[in-house]
Amino acid sequence: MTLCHHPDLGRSVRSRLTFAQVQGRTHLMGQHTPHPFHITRPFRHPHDPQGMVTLYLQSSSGGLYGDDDLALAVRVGAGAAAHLTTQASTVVHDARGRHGTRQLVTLDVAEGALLEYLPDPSILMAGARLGTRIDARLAPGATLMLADAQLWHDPEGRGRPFDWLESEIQINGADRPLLLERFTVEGEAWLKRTGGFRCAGMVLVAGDIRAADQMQKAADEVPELYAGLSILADRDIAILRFLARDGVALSRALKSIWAAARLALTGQKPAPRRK
Amino acid sequence: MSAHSLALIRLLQVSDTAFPSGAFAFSSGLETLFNEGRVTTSEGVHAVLAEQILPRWASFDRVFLHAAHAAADDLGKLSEIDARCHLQSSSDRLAHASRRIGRSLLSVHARIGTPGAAAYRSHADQPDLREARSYEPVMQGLIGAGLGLNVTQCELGAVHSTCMAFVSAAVRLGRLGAIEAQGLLAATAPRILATLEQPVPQLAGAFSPFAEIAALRRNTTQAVLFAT
Repeated sequence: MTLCHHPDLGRSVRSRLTFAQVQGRTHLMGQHTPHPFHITRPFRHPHDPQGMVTLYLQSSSGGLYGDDDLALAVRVGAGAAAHLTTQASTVVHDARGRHGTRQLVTLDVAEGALLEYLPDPSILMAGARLGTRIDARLAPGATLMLADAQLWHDPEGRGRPFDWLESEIQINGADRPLLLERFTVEGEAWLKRTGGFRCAGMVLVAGDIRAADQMQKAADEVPELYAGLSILADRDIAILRFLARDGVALSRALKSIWAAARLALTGQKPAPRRK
Repeated sequence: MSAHSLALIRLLQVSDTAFPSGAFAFSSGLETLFNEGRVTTSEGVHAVLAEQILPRWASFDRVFLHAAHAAADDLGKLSEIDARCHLQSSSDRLAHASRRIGRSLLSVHARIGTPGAAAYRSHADQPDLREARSYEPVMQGLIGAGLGLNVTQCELGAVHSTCMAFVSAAVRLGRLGAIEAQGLLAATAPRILATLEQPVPQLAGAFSPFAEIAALRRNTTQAVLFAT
């Protein structure tokens, strides 16, 4: 299992989104979203910082399949602010013996820009194989808020596990790598590694660690959540990891932690995103 | 026979609980799991060791130990391996514990003249590197090579230390009797062997979120015995 591009996979698709700030407002200046990528129109919400635009990522194919090789490149220009999310969880279907889904997201956040990349959790169905990689580059003064979460589900209720999950998150600063987070887990080991929790996730803030304590407090208020905070002060990164009993607790955690972080960073509580 | 026996004698010396490695100041999250009532039985302790601590060692520490053992003669390369370990140590408490144990090992071995230890200590003690170098598995690889251990002996010593420190924490917390602890270690031996018989992963990574989160939790309500 490796996370590099597999040209022999069945469906190899590259997409791109470019945001830029024009006169204090952030606009979607460029997009290339071939099937199965699909986006909504940009939205604006009260209390958002620096002319922020919100965009929902969608899939027109009903989830991820075992021969998908999908890549999304996002660039947020200097001083711009973008909130990128999904309308619902992403279903990763049974790979049915195929290579497994490859998903690469590159996030390029320019000087003074803010990017919130907060997709809903991936639902790993029985038999699913998912290799996901997020590669972020932050310029000086840039801030990135990033969520990554998964849950396991067997629609037949027989406890059949997903096949495997391979995850890599790399955060690079302007002149040096800051963080490399990597793991591989087989579905059969999932509950043993999580202590019996079906869902796992994290919210990471890079470029500004002022929100760390508020993120932990928000997590502590979510029932059925087990969370711990790591502060890498030498790299301006805070990571809140959590385990949840079910998808409801997981979704609630992601929303609460995001809202708490935003409040701590900007002084304004964000308007909930409609999903 | 003599070189092999000498290496074994040194392995036994540095693997003994009397050796001041610093590893016994950490419970790897076990104290929090006890305090929160998430682990209450010896079976629970065994499960954490077998399903959290050992897999993490096998997929993360072991990779860095092997790389460091192979690069023990090249200070620059060792420092790069150490820097990679720092880059991938994303849990602050576990990273801090690993550096403290590594520094302690390095200091003791520099003082008793283990080849390579003093030179690396001088390098890693530079102010800009102090909080980003001397990770435990890297130091175990370096020191093992300096003691004349082959990499298999070196990883045997390392995995033994990891298991001993964990079980010892359970004993000192009063949750496991001394005999019970030895029984648990004996029961874990086949799992350790199976772990060592697996090929070393090409890339380091870890997924043991249950114990990792426990180690990260800031306990503000109870006095604690261990640093993690």
